[in-house]
Amino acid sequence: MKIFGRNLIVCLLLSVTFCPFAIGQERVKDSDVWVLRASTITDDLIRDAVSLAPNERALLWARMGRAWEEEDPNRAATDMLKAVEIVEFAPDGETAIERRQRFDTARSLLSIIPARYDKLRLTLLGLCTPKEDRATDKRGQGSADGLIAAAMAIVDTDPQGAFDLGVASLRIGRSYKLAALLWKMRNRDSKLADVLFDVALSAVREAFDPESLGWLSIYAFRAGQTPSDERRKALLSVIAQGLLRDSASAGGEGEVCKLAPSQRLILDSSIA
Amino acid sequence: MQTCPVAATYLGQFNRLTPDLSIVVRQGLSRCQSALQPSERQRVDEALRDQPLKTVADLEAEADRAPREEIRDEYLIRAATLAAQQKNYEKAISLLDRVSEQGRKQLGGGWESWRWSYAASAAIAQFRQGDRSSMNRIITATPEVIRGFVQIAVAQALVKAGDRDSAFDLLTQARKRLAQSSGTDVIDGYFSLIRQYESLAPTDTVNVFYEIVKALNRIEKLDLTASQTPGAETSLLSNDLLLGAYNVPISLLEKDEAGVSAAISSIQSPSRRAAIRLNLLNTSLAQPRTIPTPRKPAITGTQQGNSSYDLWLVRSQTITADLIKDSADLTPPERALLWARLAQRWWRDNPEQARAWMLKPIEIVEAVPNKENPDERQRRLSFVRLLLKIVVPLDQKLSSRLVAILSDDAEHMAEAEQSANAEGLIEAAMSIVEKDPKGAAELGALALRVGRPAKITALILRLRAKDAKLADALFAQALATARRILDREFLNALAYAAFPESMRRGVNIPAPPDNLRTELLRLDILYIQANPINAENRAAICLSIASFIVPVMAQFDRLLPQQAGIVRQSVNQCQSLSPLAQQQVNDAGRDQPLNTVDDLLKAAEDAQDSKVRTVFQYRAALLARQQNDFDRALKILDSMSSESREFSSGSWEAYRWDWAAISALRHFKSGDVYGMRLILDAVPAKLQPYAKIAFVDRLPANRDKDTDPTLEFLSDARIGLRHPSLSEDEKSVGYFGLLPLTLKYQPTEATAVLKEAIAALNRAEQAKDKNTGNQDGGSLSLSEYSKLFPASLVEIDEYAVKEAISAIASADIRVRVRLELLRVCLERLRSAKEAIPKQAPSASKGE
Repeated sequence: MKIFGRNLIVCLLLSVTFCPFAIGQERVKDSDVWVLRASTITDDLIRDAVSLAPNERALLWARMGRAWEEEDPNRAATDMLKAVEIVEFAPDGETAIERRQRFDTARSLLSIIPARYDKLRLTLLGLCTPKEDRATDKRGQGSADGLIAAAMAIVDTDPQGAFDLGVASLRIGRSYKLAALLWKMRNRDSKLADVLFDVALSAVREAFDPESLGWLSIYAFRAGQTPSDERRKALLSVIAQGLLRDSASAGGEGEVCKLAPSQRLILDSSIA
Repeated sequence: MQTCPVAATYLGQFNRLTPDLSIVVRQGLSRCQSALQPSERQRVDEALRDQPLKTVADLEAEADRAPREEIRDEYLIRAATLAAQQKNYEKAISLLDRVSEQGRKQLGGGWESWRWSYAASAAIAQFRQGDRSSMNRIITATPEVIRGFVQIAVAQALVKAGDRDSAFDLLTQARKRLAQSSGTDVIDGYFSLIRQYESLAPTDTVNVFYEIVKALNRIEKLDLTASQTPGAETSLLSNDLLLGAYNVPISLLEKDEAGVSAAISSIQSPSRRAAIRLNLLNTSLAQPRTIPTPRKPAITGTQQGNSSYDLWLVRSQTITADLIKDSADLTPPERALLWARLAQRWWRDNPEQARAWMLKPIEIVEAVPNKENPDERQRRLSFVRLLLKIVVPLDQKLSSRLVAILSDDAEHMAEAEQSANAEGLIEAAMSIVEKDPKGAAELGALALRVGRPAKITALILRLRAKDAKLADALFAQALATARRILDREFLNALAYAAFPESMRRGVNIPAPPDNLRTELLRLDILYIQANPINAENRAAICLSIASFIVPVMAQFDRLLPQQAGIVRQSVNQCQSLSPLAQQQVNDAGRDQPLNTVDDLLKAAEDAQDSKVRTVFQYRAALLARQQNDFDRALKILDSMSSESREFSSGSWEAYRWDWAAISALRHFKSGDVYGMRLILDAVPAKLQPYAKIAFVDRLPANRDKDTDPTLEFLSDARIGLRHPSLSEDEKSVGYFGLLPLTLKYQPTEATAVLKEAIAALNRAEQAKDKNTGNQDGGSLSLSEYSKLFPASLVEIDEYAVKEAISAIASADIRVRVRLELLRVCLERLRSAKEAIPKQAPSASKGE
């Protein structure tokens, strides 16, 4: 049975077209337009997420979360959590390379997720420094890079947190990016920057790593606001000591002994 | 790496800060030299020199003396860097150009970066000195692969200096080059270019963006090859700098949100797609914070107008973007039709984009396949007719292209095809008759040349209301066609145009002059003479006589009295026809027409045939309704047998609830609430929801609170729509009828009703698929949806509406709903635009 002819129904039911909100009575904020646009873009991004690999998807969620942080903190928190959950999950049969990529992503997330998500950041930090990661990461550089990138992201708002990350990076490896962190930290908190420099120098002295000496020197001797001359002298002493170690290894231990006693005294005192 | 080169680099610092230690270091450097690589050894040698290399000339000379290529390259690069620091860019360029191919490769893109950067600085310096030819010479001398970057950078300087024309020329050249490039450097170039276009030629930004999308897809293959090594690629999304390279001007969204969104969706690389969207997201969310908050909380008229305009623009664009996404679920012809409908919607508000959309389907139908079979041809022409209806009111030239397809070669078309094309032309004419009666008449005349369109009557009647002369001229042409073909359906159609008062009872509309009417009667007689009644054709000819000759018998007597006898003779030959035809013949022969309710009821009572009885009963009920005697009209309807109700295929039900609603309303308005309830309670249970919806829809604005049944009836209707005897189709139409009223009186319930409506709609479609296969067409037409989806619904809860529409399972219906929602949003957009004072800026809003 048909209850009505199609055209009839509408004509009969809705003979009056009403309009409850007259145009002139609207109260629309300019911001609504952009938030609406942002929502549409976010919907598209969520659709994009399906075609991304898990690590990229995690990064996408984190970035969406960061974008929405001010406008919609709840949504942002949910997005950040999704991101961390993805990198926390170790799939069955994960290869060493895949694991390293997952940890790399966790480090990247540290640079995206703000300091106030401290629990999420702790989770990520746990992922950033596992032993097996160090085993596949030559000289811990990848891990150190990631931690410093994370520190860079928060240094303006949380210099102490950035300092902690910087120190943590030195425990697991060496990264030339530390020079940039030192420079950025000096602009924000010069005392913390000096302490981090001292820690870095101490770490370099242990290993006499020429590369690390190179980027620490770049930081120490570049033009502008730099560490004190005392710290520079300390750095130069470590360089000199490294130089002599190199000479010794090239020519045998005896080479170091060829230094005049006065010269050895100078070197020893400068290092001390 | 050893410590030696580091120590060598800072030997000066040793001298300054720890002179004692510097002696030790010098000795150490001398010792370690032998173990170093040549380039490192060179650096140590240099550190130990008495005279350090301080000038460009020193470094260049050292390069010339260098024993090995890599050392030479290193000195050249240092010399170039120093020259650039001293702003001697041309020297820096010449030094860089001397670096070996191997040296350039080892720098991993650094050489190219320095090279274009120095060239840009050199060119800008020449421009500032007024030397344009040197500027151009430097640009031209730049390797082609990086020349675009120089052009973009120089263009930026030219813009700052006010020379926009030259800047534009440079950008155009850079754009051409980038369009041909397939290197990955194209990304940086294009994104830099689009930012320049934004300030220089903002109207072109969208097109540049489309080129970016093409370029990204072009280089995608190269990237795929590169990314086959696991972990070789740094994720775009992990790095702010990489991500930032994909930033595009946010104004793109204001200019063509739908187009831009669709273009982004077409980017093959998901991470690049996401990168662009993330940048747009960040910028979008940064926008509100950059808009100064008005000091006064009250919003001024202009601001309000602009905001409202923007909001409706975004809504419209969002719906359009959704439609474009929907297009993936449509068949190619449906998709082409969607482009046309999108164009139709945006024609006024974004003519450029609309025209581009419209051209797509036109080009499709113009292209005749090589071996088009009759079925394909029929489908193509059918599509042309649909398109024509859309295009005719919009653009004459585009219409002509479609008209040409329908009218060219008409004589070689099959009769059915000719007829369909002619009807298509009439429908197109109908769509413009109000605004362009002359154009409509021309299309009508063309339709008459192509075929024998029965719908010509409707066109003539509507044309008459606008311009009687045009209507008469078209009618005369129709008569000429009728004379040529003597087709009974066509003569029947013309009878409605010539004698509306006789062909439709109770209708009183203008008719053509008597000379034209007489001419039609003559043709009728010709038809009778050409088709003498015999045993074989009796049924067919008598049906014609009953249809268009008997109703105008009186006109024969008046206008052609000498030939009326021929007509009567034919009528007499048509005895023992089918009961319904006989009834018409009998009616025509009555001395006293049946013009009272009682007469009609008496005739119904006397009728032997149930169908004849039904017709008389309906006529009686309709007459009672015309006389506003609703109680009697309803009583007549209720007295009809179930057989009679079935015979009317839905009309009985529609009349029953509609008249009950009107009757109840009359009681309500007169204060008879009891009477109102009695009337509605008497409506059959399954029809009660419709009666109550119709009642509420017609309620006056001012009502007595104590007796106002609005909320009660809406609630009853919603519950009643769950009645198991209603089909899902009927339920969905009911819910959609209920929706705008719920929105008006119970806005918080509106989204729930919408969801119920869509759930019913999906079930109805599912049932239809099971029963009949997926046949074209939903339950409602396009224009019907528009009334069911008021724009205000979007205002209440935009996201819920969007979600609900997305839940419509049928892509076809989803598209129809969105198209109509788009239409109402665009109407609100135009209203908002009109509310903006003339002086308010509107250029940046996509106009």
